[in-house]
Amino acid sequence: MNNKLSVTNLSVKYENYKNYILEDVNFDLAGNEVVSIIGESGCGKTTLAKAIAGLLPASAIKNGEILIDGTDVLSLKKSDLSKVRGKKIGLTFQDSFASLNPTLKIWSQMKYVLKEKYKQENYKFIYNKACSVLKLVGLIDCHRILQSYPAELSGGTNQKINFALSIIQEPDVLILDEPTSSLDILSQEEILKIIQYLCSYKKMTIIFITHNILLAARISDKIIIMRNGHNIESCSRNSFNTFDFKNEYAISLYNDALLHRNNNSKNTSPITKLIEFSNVSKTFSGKKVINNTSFAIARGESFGLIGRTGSGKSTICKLICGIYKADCGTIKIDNKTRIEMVFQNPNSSINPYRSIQDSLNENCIISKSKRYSESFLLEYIKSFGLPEDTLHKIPSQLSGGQKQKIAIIRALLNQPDIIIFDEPTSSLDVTSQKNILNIIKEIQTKYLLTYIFISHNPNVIEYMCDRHVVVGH
Amino acid sequence: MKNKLPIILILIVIITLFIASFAIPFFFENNIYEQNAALKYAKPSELYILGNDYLGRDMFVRICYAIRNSFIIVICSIPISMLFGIIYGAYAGYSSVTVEKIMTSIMNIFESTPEFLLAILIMVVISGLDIKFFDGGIFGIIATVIILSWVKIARIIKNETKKIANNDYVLYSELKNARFGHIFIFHILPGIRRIAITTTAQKISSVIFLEAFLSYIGIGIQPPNPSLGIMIYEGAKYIRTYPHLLLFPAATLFIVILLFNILGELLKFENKIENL
Repeated sequence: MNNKLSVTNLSVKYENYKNYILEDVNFDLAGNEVVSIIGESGCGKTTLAKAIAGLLPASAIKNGEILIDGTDVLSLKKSDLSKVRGKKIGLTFQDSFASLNPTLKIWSQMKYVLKEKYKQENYKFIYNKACSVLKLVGLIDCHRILQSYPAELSGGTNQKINFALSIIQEPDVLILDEPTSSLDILSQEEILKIIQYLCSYKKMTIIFITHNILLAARISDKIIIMRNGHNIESCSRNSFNTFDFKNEYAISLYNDALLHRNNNSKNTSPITKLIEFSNVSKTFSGKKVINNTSFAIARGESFGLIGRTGSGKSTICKLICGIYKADCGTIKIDNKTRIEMVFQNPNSSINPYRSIQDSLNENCIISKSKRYSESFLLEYIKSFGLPEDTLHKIPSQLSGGQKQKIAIIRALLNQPDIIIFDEPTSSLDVTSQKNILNIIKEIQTKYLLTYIFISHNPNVIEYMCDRHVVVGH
Repeated sequence: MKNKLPIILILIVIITLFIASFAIPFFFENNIYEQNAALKYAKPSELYILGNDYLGRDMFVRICYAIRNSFIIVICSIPISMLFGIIYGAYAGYSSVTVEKIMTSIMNIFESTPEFLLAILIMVVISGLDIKFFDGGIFGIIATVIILSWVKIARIIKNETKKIANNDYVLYSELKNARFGHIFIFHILPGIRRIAITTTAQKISSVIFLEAFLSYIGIGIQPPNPSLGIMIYEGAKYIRTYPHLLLFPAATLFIVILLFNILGELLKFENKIENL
C-alpha cells in the first residue's frame, strides 16, 4: 500500500474498434515524484490519462485495475468518481481551446473552482486568489486576462489558464496531457519550474505526458515509454542523474531528439525582394500586436519568424495573405506572387467531411477550372510516402502527420512562390516532426520555393531557416 | 450507424401511414362527406371499423383523410422553411459582425413573439386575403408554418456555421477568394447536414400539432374538410355519451406525433454518438 498510484494489467478498448488501445499496462508511482509518459501520437497516452481520471466513455471495455490510495478508479460509480476528481486527481487536457468554455469570461470559470476550494464568497478574496494563481503560472497581466473570453487570448495563454485551473484544487495526482505543446520555449521553462515547485512543496504526484523526451528527461524522476498501447520501458534516474534506456526504440527516440537539437544553421544573403515590410503596425482592441516591424524576404530563402506565444506571429502571416489590413506602414508584395499556407493544426486545416481528393481539388472548384486527374494526384501522394488509397479516405482516418502532408500537397498543387508554414510540426511527435521537416526541406530545392516559417521553437527555426527575426518585445 | 434498425422500423411505419392516408380516401371518396342519419353515433362495426360520427360519416376514412391533410401541410411547408432557415442561418453565421447582428435581431423578433398568438394573427390575415390554392384553409396553415418554423433551424444552423467558420479550412478557402456560395456548399453544408436532418424530423411533429391546434380553435382547416383538430373538438361534445368520437382522433394525433418525436430523438441520439 506504499504506492500512491498503481496500474495493473490495464487494457482498454473502445467500442467498434478491433484493436486494444492499451494492452497490459503496468506501473507504480511512489508518490511525490514527477513521472513522464512518452510515446508517438496515437500510442495511447491520452487514453491512459483518461483512464486514470475515470473519464473513459461508459461503452469502453476496460480490464485490470487502477488503484489510487487503495481505491480502484475503474470500479467506482459515477457519483463517487466526482468526489475523487479534482481533489485527488487533476487533469489538464491537450486541446486548451476545447477545454475552456468559449462563452464565459476567464474570471467566471475560475471563480467557480476557487469558491469550491476555499468555501468563500468574498469577492475580493476570490479575485486576489485568482490573480495569484495566474501569476504563479506566469500570466502577469492577470486583470486583463480575467476579463477576457478564451477566444481573445492566444493558444499558449489558454493552455496556461488550463494549467492554473487544474492546480487550484491541489490534487494528490496531477495529470498533464501535453501542457507545453503550444508554448514557446520561455513559457515552457516557466511551466517546468512550476511542476518542480508543485512536486517538492505541495507534495503532489505529477504525471507528465509529452512527446518531447528531452523535456521529460530534465524534470522527471521516472520515464515510462509507450508504444502501440504497451509500456515498453520504465526507467528511473540513475546515480549519474541521467537515464539508461535499455529498449532500442527508447534509445533511438532519445538520439533522434538530441540530433534534431544539434543541427546547425546556414547563411545566405537576400538577392531579389519578394516581400517587403516597412514600419508595419497593427492594433487589436487597443492592444498593439505588431509594433513598427520591418523586414524583407528574398526569393528562394527560408525566413523564420520566432517569438513567444501571443507575440503576433500569426498576425504577420495574415497581413501577408491580405486577410488583415495594416494600420500603418507599407507591405510590398507583387500581385502575381502566389501565396500558400500550411496551418498549425492539421485537424482544422482540412475539412473533416470531405474526402482527401475533394480537399485537394478545392482550388479547381473555386476557380471553376478542370479538376486534377486521379493519377496526377496519386503521383504526389506516392512521392510523399502516403498509402495509395489515401485519396478516398476522409481526414479522420489519417494520422496528424499524414494530414499535415496532405496540407503540404494541397499547397504545392497551386505552384506557389511562397509557402507560409504556421508551426507545421508543433502538434506532432518527434519522429513525424523530423519526417515532415525533411520533406519540407526537400521540396524547397525541388520546386524553388520561398518559405516563411513560423515557430516558437528555436531548434526548428535553426534547422529550417537561413535567417530569422524575433517578433514581439 | 448504430441505431439503424429502430430508425428503419420507424420510417417503415411512417411511410405505411403516408401511403394509407392517401390511398384509403382515394378508394372511398364518397365516404368522406356522405352523411347517413341511420348510422349517427354508431359504434365500431365490421363495415365501419372506427364507427360513425354525429352526422353518420365514416370515422375511419375521415381520420385517414385528416392525416393526409396533415402530411400535405408538412410536405408543402417544411422543405421551404428549412431551406430558407438553413441558408439564412448559414449566411448570418458566416457574415461580418454587423450583418450578423441585424439578421439575429430579426430572428429575435420572431422568437420573442408567442408562437400560437402569431399563428392566429397570420391565419386571420391570410383568410382575409381569400386565396384558394387548396381547399378549406390548408394554404393558410402552410403559409403560417413557413413563416413560423424557419427561425428555430436558422438559429441552430447559425451557431453550427460559426463553429465551422472558425476552422482553418475555411480560412484557406478565403485565401483563395472563395465566395459564400462555395464555402456554403463545400464546407458548411456537409458540416450541418446531420443537425439539419435531426431538427427537421423534430419540427414535423410540432407542425402537425400546430395544424391540429389551429383547426381545434376554428381558424385552421374548415369543415366539412376533416382535420384531427376539428374531429377532436366535435368529439369532445359527446365525451360522456359516445366516447369513441373523441378517442379515435385523439389517439391518432398522439400516435402520429409520437412517431415523429421518436424519429427525431433517435436521429439526435445518433448524432451524439457520432460526435463522441
